[in-house]
Amino acid sequence: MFGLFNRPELELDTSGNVPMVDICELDLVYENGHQALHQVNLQIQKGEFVFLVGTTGSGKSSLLKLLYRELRPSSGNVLVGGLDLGDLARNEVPYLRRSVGVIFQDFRLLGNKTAAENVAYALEITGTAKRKIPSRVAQVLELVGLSDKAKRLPSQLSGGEQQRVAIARSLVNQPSLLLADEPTGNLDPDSTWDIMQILSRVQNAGTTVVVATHNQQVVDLMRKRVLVMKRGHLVHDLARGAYRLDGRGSGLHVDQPSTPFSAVEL
Amino acid sequence: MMGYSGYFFREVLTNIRRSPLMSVASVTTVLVLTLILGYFTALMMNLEALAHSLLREVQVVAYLDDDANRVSVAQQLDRIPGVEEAHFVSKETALKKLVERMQGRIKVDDLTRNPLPDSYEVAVDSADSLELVAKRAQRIAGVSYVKYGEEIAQRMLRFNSLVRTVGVVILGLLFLSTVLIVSNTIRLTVFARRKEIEIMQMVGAAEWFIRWPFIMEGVLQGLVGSVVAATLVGGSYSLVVPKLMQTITFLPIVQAEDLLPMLIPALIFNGAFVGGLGSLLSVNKFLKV
Repeated sequence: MFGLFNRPELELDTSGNVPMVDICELDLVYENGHQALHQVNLQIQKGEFVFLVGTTGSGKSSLLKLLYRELRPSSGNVLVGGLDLGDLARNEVPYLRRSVGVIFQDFRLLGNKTAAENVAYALEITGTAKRKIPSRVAQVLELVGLSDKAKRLPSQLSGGEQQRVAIARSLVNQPSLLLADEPTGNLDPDSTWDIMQILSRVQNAGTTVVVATHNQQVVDLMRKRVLVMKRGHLVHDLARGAYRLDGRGSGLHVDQPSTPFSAVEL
Repeated sequence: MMGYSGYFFREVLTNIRRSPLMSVASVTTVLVLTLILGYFTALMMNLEALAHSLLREVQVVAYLDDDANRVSVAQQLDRIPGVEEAHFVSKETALKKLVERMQGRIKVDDLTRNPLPDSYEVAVDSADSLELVAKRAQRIAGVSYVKYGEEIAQRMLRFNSLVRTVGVVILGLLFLSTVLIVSNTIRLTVFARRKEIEIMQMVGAAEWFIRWPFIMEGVLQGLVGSVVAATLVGGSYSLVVPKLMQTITFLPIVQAEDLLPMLIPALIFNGAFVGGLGSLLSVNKFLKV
């Protein structure tokens, strides 16, 4: 009734038999004619932790938006858990988003709800039984280390704490894929490190994590797989640990180029 | 639905508490537009009543032959569908009326004999039956000829349908503009909460789940506005009409108790509907996938 219960059949394949993310010959052209992504090919396996780096306008955010179906590909395919997002009907999008958590630089919390209410909200909308909500909220708040601040409003929390609430909210529906768009862009180094550790723990629990950032220090310290974007092209796909900061902290040094794109100047 | 209704209700109350001024704006908009709609509908109903009463005056007159059988003619007239009443007017009465109408310009004494025939004045149930009744009456033995205000009747009918058409068009335009104005007013409240809608969509709220609290809020605001407006329309109508009826006796004014039991629920329902529809339209602007 009223479109609330006719949930479309929509399950991601999380068996590991198909890649968590499978992008094939992807082009993205905005309505104004600007081509944001050129012929991107990419696979991310279940349980991986991947950094997406590149300057502003390199196409990182666009790529993430395609993964939670904020944007549709102009051509090519974007598959998440075996599901072709280009074929997704409008009324199926909400159900995709329950399996794909997203966090942002600006946290995007509801200012009039407490930390716990913000997290509970993501459960309420899925029709989770009321009695189950408090325990699950407490569980994820503990995971991000905010059990003692559950009753605070976002305005009474620091930036790092707000981002932890956002992470808790994105995790409460147990997503298979967690996308983070500049999650530490507004945070001090200590908070940044907290967030990265939490994201690492999320990965260890089996969730695939994709983090877009231009914080090279973080990328260098974490030593994960790194995808380098430049002007809409995926120019490097560097395996775990192949990417590190150079001595002066101002550029990028590639030890073991793993793609034929290594000639491209960064 | 039951599991959600508590959530929806809480949302609506929170929203109204958070932006009371916006609610006042929406309620006032519905109120003013419902007032206009209410008074206009009342005017329309009265115009139609007027047109109807004018048509009542139009009747068929069947003039009889001198040797006609009055009773037989009366029986046959009564059998024609659409005839409500046939009233006999003798030649003497007709003459008296004529003399009265001429106001002394002719005198009965001047006449050697009464030139007027006996007649029946036939009242019909509706203007549409006039022509048919006239034709059938003509065929009755003993009726010499039949007269009815053909031209007047046609004009009345045209006036009546004009009133109806113009009324429906204006009511339709009023309804449309109400929806648009209300949806624009409500759009301000939705705009203020567009971030929230974005977040709801991001965490996977289904579209109808996002829409319902807004629609319910619109319905509630529409209800409040239209109940106040309907009360004002109803109150003023029942106050003014009896006074008008005393002063303007020749106009057939629709009685309050004939109009209001239909008009008031219609206005309230319309207000709720317009509020809900306006909300739906505005929230859709901010739902993008």
